[in-house]
Amino acid sequence: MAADLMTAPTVPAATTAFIRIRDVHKSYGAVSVLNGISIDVAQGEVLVLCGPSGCGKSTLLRCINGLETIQRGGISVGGRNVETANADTLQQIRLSTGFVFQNFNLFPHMTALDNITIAPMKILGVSQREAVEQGRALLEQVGMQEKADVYPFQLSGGQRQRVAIARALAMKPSLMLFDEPTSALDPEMREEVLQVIRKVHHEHNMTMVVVTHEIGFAKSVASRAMLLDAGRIVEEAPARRFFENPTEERTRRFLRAIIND
Amino acid sequence: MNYTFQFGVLTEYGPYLAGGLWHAWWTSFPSIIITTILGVVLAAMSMSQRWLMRGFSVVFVDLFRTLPVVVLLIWIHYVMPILTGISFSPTTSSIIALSLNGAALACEAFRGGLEAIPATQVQAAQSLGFSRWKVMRYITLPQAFFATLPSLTNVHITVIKNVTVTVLIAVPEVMFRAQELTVQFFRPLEFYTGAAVLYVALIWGYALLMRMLERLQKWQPI
Repeated sequence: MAADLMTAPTVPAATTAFIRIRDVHKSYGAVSVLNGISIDVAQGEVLVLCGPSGCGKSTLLRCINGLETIQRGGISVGGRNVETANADTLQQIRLSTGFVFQNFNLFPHMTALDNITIAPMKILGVSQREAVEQGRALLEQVGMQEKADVYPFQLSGGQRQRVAIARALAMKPSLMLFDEPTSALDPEMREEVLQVIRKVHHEHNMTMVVVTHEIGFAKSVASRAMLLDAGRIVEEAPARRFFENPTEERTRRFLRAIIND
Repeated sequence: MNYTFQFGVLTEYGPYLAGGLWHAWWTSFPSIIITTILGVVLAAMSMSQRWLMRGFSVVFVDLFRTLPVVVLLIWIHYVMPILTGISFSPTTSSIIALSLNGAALACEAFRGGLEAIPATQVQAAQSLGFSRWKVMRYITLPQAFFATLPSLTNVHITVIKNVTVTVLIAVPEVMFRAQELTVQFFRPLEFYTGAAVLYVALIWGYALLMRMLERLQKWQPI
């Protein structure tokens, strides 16, 4: 626990943490990816994860909703333990967690609207009429109401990602995880997606963990930011301080690198 | 070669020969349906987390794709009644034999289609709360269906062609009738050529139908 206090100085021994990550270790065979990560995320907070590729940021995100299993430590989401969860609990955790992927992962055999309505209908048992109504409202929210009946292959990258965000929101999650939501997009398309994420945060006051290197976006939305390197937390600070005046030399080097990019 | 062609016999007995198509179709069509359903189930089982399910699928596929159809057919029609006391009509025995053989082939076709679906599709569905079964039902199988159609058509064609071996247990399909007529009129060339043309027409028509089904796909993989 002492290590916790050192790496997470801004977090009081939060008992109200929505996500609680304690000393998480994860490896693929002999390759260790996470080496003792501990962090809390409070309700309504937006945490930005940065780090060079291979630092474990995406893996950490996947561990939070149980897409990956961890070897040591503990993760709890909304009071439910992820690593010890049985299939039902895991489903509960996933139902309360929306996940947005780097490569969108829309279902190619369904229209934009069907992509959004399928999970509420088949998993929550929402009626078709209600699901479609909600689906259209969500499409409007992400500025895609014109494309309801279009298949993913007919959409641009930015449009696909906006539909993917609407698909995750359709399950009314209390937490959203974003795994580099804009890094597969052209620069012009990034802003349209970031705009949607901002809007989602403001309208729902949603707890979010976002893996991103978009500094402008991170500064305007995130409450906290942290840098991962080689599976460890290098620095973790309020977003503004993290990006404008980081204490660690490693963070300064990293930020210089992504600004020059 | 001093054989005198007399395709004239076909004007008289052609309709009888062609009538065999009715039996060929009603043997192959139920077999195609069972083959497809069983193939999907076996493919789903082969990807199960339970080893018993996977094991069953592997044993089934290996058994019925290695057993020659003729051996399987004779065994079901003549040997099984001795062992169990249950016997089937020639058509039913044929449907069982062709379905078991076809299902083993269809399973492999579907498995290929399912394995070609990116793991990220499964992750996306799981992240929305889909159970393993629902991922299969709503996400992977519908996508695999169109990817599998061309190879599934091949399996179905194999099943239809296998109908000709049912001549051995006297299902009155085209080959059986060609044989019957040849014995009576000593006109093998005319009758067997007629049989060939009829089967080619049946299978060609079926393949055309399946080609049309392929065109129903409105989406593209991304």
